Amino acid sequence: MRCDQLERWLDEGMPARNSAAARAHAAGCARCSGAMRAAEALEVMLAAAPPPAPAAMAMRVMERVESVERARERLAASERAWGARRLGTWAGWASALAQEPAAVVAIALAPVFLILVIAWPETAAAIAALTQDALAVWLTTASSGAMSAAAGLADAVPHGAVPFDSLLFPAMVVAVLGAFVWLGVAFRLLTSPRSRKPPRA
Amino acid sequence: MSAMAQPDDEQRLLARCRDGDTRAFQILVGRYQDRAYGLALRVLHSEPDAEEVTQDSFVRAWKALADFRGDAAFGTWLYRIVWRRALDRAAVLRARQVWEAPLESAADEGVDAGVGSGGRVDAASWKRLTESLSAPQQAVVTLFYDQDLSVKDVAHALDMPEGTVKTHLSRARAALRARYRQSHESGEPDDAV
Repeated sequence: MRCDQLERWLDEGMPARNSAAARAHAAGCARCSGAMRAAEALEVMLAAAPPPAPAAMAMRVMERVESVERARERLAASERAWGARRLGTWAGWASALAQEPAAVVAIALAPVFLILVIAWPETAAAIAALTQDALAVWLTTASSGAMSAAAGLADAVPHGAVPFDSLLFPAMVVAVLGAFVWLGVAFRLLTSPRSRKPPRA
Repeated sequence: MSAMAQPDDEQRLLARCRDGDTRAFQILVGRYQDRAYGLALRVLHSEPDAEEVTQDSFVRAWKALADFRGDAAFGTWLYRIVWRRALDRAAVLRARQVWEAPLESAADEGVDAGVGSGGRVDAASWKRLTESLSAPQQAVVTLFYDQDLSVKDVAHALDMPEGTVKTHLSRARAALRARYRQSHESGEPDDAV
């Protein structure tokens, strides 16, 4: 074995193979003998254990782990209360609307009216006229001055004078219902404790 | 610890941990805290920083247990977390220029990492011994010698190819041997062994 081969053998960690040849060479080479002594001393030093972990470290680790778990539980509880009302997505909005009965009615009525207007325009016009009359009667019989003025406004619209007469009052019904639905949803969202964002873990 | 065998009791402990049993995790902490701390200490040469990194690593391990597939030993997976956290911490320390602050009289002393009572080497001694090594070499040396891991397990823990681990070990041994000989040839007392 040559000196460079012994150095490589030492770099490999003094494996069992070639050990006899390496030691035989070191016995006759002062430089390599010193290298081998150094390597053996280093093996002892490197194998010496580091200081143990501080005594209270495990306790501190577990305190932090428990804190993580408490935060997770709070987040889970908040998400359960928050439910499906995550209004950051279309699915969230659809889910929220589906839970509002008035919204369901409004959404169900809208295509009905549309089909009615397209397929049976005369019937739609008749319904619009009846609706207009009923609205005018209701507003007229109300006691407040504002309602009387509004009734006068309703009366001012002659039957058939507006090109979209057959669509007007059904559209008004749908729009009023829709407005109430949106107002109701907004009010509940703003005032409910669930409107607060769930805490981050 | 071999990467191939996951002791049965450890598998049961990990299953309990995934179910949220913190007492099972406390057992694992007790089992691995010394070795994890030792690895961090070897890289950072600072006991407060090593403790902080070790704590962070255990907490991260707890949070990421769902991602632990069990294809390696828990210890190997933990060491990888410790290693990465220690590297990040070392980068922060270098940026703060704390890394360059010399330990008391460390620079002028020889490379006799005094193996103290109980066969342990303190942080200052280890730093004197290994300060010429790069961070990857220090981690490889620590895991291979302190934690008694195989080359394969070290490679898995540090996310390195096995060939790279062997290269780091080889170069580390050569560098340490050169430093040791330089130190002793200059007449430093040898009380390491």
